[in-house]
Amino acid sequence: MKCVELFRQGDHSWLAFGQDPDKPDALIDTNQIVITAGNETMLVDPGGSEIFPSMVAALTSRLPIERLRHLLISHQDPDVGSSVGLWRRVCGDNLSVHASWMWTSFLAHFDGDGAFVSVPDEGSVIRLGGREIHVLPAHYLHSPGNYSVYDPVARMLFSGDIGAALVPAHKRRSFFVEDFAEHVGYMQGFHERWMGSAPARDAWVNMVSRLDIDIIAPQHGLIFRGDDVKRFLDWLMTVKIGSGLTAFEKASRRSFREKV
Amino acid sequence: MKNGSGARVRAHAAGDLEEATGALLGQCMSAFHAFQELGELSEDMRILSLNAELAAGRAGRAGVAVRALTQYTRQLVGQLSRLRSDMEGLKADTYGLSAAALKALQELRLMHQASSTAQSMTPVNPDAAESGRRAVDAAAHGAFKAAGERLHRMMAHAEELGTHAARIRQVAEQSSGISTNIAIEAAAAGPHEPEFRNVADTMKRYIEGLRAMVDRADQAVHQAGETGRLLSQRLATARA
Repeated sequence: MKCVELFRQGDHSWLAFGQDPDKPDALIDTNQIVITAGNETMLVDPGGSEIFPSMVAALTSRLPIERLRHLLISHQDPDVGSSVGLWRRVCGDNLSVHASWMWTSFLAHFDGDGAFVSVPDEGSVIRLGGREIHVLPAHYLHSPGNYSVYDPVARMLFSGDIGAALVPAHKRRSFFVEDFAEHVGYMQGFHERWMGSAPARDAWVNMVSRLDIDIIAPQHGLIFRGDDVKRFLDWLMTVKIGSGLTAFEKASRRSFREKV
Repeated sequence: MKNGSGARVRAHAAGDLEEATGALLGQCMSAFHAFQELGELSEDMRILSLNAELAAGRAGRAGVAVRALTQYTRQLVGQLSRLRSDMEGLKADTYGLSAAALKALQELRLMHQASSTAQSMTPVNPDAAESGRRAVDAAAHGAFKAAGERLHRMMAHAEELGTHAARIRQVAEQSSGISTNIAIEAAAAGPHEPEFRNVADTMKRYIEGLRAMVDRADQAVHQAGETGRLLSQRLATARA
């Protein structure tokens, strides 16, 4: 699994892991974010159980596992957190697992043995080695209980599925977006279909536009940096969310027996 | 630390254990399935014994022995009901154990894969890689222990199922003796002979059904025993 350093200032860093060349093709590619501050590490969206072997090997190649104190699951999807039980087996009681109050009892189907720290709708602040990591609401984008993660010192934003792109493997020359106009082609369909609410999109863009952000790192696809951050937020406001709605009309054209 | 072949072999062994666990569950389920109609059959036997007792009452002195035999039949039906209830509990427990064992084995396989992947990498921080390896190995050991404990309980359940099947065969043989005795009583029952003979013949049919169930279950239990022995060997090899 590849790794790129997104930020470093002393013992404070952001690393992104992903683009695993050994990953089976059937699995969607995911980015796992590792934040370290002081002697503590936080893993954001640890990924599915099938990528756990590569991810734990890649992480422990760089960082002591005993420092992994927090794990945040931005929403309930299996590619986001089905490995949670495996991380608990490796880290033991040192690990706090944060997830939306909406999903804790659902996520227990991945790992019935451990407790979760319920994140309220408005988000929370996780103290990591003397730094404050802000968990921000991103509900309905796409999951109804969904979060982004912001680090005001590093000026980094993990955006989950917002900004995700289905980029073919041969088009991934690095972890970063190199040609925004071309990249839109890989994001458009995803956002039209996966995002759940235009008002939520407007509220999220309004919220993050007030933050100092150097990098936006989504859970799938490439990472936005520099001017592409604003380009992405501007583009997101133009997306026509709800392409799945046409399915209802198509289904209605089928010859159901009429209601009597 | 470039040699991950040991961990790869262990990951493969965990996969073999998963496969054998699936087979063991399938064989246990076949045995339980063999007794699927046991409830209906024992209820039929109970009703038959009640009807036979009424017929024995109508026969007066000629039905005294038949009446005693039908009361004994009902005791056997009671035993079948208790065995059926025990097997239902055993079945639910076996499902739960197999799910838990498969989950632990999947964890074991993934931990071994993690170990193999880590060993094939050149670590950026060797100390961190070493502490990571120890943590993954400890987690693999925990998963192996959990899987082994659950698999041994599953194997014990398969043996218990065999004991239950043997007990049901005993009930079938005792019932067979009763039906033979009812047929003998029928021969001396004068006008009541057809009624008693019908009871004996119907009971024989039920007993044949019971024997067929036990035969099918025995076959599955035997296969489960073979798989259990294979699993024990693989667990011992994996432990070594």
